[in-house]
Amino acid sequence: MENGGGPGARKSFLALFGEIFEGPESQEGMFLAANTGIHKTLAGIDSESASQDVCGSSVAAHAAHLMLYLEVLGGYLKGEIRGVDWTAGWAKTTVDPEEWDTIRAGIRRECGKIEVHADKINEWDADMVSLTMALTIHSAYHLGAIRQIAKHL
Amino acid sequence: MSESGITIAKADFLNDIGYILRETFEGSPEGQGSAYLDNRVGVFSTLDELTAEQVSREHEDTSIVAHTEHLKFYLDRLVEFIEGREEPVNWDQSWLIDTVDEEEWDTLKAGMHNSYENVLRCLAGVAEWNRKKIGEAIAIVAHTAYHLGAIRQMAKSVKSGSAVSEE
Repeated sequence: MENGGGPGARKSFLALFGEIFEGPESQEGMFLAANTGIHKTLAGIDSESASQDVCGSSVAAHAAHLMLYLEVLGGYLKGEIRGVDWTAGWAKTTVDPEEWDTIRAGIRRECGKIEVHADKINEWDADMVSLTMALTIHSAYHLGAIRQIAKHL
Repeated sequence: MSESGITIAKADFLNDIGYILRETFEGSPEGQGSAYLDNRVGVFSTLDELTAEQVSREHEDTSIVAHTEHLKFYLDRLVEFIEGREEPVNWDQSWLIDTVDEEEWDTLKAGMHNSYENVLRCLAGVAEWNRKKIGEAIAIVAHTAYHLGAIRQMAKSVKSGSAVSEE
């Protein structure tokens, strides 16, 4: 960015994206408290609880949708454009232990791929900025919903 | 070109943050693309569908109005930080409201509109975007999205009647 903001944008994205998934590096992050990131939140929920219907939704449904979004937009970052049926990501509302482990591992895998890729990109054009922003904001939205559902479990 | 070789046009950043901020608060227009929310879904439409009684219901030690007040408080403080505030914030002060009557709810919703407009004004006026300000700008949207996700989940409970009513 002109005015010296270029490296700042990449560092800011990686810091906030990391906070949303891993939790804050220190006790208090930019907006999350310690141990409230996506990975730790999902790690504390078993497949039975994740499958519980809470007002027409479940943690498993949000997590499966989140994994699909990470896969698709992570691909967009690399120029891999594909059509997506977003409703498919909401079809999975219940999981067995193996499926739950697969979803949580998938979120970790896709999250890691995005961070590695973003860290290597030097030319942050408008698409790169909008995609990384969408990845961050979308993840925050579902973390808020998941943590609210988790209070009922 | 910056020293590290990374370049981002200032206009691109402002356009992108403005786009996703508007979607988060105002919702995306029907028939147009969106970054992460369904058309017309946003903070304002979500809050407008709820009454003071509904937002005051208890959900596992919190309420929709508690999240709403906290959300507005965060917007106001982050604008202050972007504009140079250095003294720390007592965030406990953002969680003081659990219930409202209709007049208080209308006042809070109107205040949210004012705070949102103030964020747009603030971001448009930033002359020099450094890492701190970029992080704060993105945090405004991410924090709002986090609480919108929680609020919309609580709204489902309210509409299904499973939240604890004070009546």
